[in-house]
Amino acid sequence: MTLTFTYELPLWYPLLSSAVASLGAGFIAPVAMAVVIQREKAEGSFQLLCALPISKERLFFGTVLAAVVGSLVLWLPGYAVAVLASIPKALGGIPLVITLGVIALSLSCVSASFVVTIALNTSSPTALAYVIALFFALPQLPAMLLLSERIEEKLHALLEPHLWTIMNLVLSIRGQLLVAGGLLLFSLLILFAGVQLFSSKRSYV
Amino acid sequence: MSETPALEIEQMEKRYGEFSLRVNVTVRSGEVLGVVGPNGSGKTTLIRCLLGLVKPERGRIRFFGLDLERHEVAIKRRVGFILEGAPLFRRVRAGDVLRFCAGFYPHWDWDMVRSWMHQFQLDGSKEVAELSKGMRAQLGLIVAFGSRPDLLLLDEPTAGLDPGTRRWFVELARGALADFGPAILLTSHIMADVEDLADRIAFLRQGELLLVESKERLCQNWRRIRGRCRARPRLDSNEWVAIEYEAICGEIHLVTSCWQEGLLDRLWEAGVTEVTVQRLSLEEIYSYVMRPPS
Repeated sequence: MTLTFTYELPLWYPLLSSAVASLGAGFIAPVAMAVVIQREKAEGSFQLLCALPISKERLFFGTVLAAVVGSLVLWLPGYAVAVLASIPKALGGIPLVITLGVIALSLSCVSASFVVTIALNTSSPTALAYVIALFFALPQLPAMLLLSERIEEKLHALLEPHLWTIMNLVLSIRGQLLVAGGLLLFSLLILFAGVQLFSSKRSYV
Repeated sequence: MSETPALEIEQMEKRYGEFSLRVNVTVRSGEVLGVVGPNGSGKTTLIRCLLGLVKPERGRIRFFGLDLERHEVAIKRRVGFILEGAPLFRRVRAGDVLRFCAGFYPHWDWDMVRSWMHQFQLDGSKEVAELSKGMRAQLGLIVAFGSRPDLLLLDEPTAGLDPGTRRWFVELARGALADFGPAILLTSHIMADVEDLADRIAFLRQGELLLVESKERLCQNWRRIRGRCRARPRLDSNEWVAIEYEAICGEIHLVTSCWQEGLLDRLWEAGVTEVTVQRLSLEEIYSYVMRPPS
């Protein structure tokens, strides 16, 4: 008698796991970096860092880069596994996984620039927690609005004829580049404002 | 020794609500300036202003002839420092702290650092949090001196240390002065800390620099005079820092900050007899300078 295991993972499983892991890690790493910054501020080591011969701009961008690299290190292994797992399922699913990866990477940049900017520019952990919570709650606003039936109906009517076009755009290379470019531009805007704020601060203690 | 001062602070003012720190002082190359004052007098704020950690409302700070605002990084490469409480990265190994800091300084002297680490039996593989307070202070001093800086800014480097470690700090600073001759700005609320090292002493009270004088001149100019007289004599208050007259026993105690032989003649004319003159210790001078104005 032979016992045979037949175990088939549906395609959505690696897709979902890669999406959750990527987005989760992309947000967790900058938040962890913000916690470290606040801890160093409380212990006084941040003063030491600011007193070293390094320009405030380099210190700022170095910290943001560390947060981005941190999130990459966190989500890349899980993401790679998800990509490999999706290959035997359907080759057609790979572009979707790559899309998820690009969006997760772009969102990592946005969250790293925002969270680290706030962490470097505020000394109050409470204020930091409120601002981060607000930042992560904001993307949910459209979903909340959709709960209103009238808005949903209007949106439905508006988007339905273009739904396939939008889906195709998002899944195409051009669409991915557009979304990623938009998110990166948003990150750069946050970073520009952040570095201006940080370098013009009157106190780093 | 360079002609350009190591540090020039011109009309600097930093305000925190009601408190205002106003400083105008120069530290010459190779000179040790001790800034003394009670807690809350503005010593730490001064060091923070000099390291760019807080920005003053007005005034100008120049290091080696360079403006701090415009040449902050270039200046800091030549400046070693110890911040109040010697904060270091607590969860990082001592050796890694040194390697991290070394990366910022072009003249980091690893031979000197290794020799001091060996001399003080500092274990580089231990995390900073695992080191004793004295060892952390030693590590902080090694970080400050390791780059062989032209200027050292030391904020209460001996605060909370036992007498042995304090002695060690003085020896280390003396060794550095003999070796590469940095200028030092050293703050403390303990006179004995600066007494051994300082060439000049600045007295800071409630944000105001009351007096900046060389140690020799302080010792020369300040005297305590004891004598006897039948009634309280009439004396020029500009010449005397303190006048204490005990009517019951007819004893008078006077302290002056501008000692000269002529003062004795004036005391004689005012009816003071049996006069004895004593030098004051720096500790005593400190207590008289820091007295709140009556």
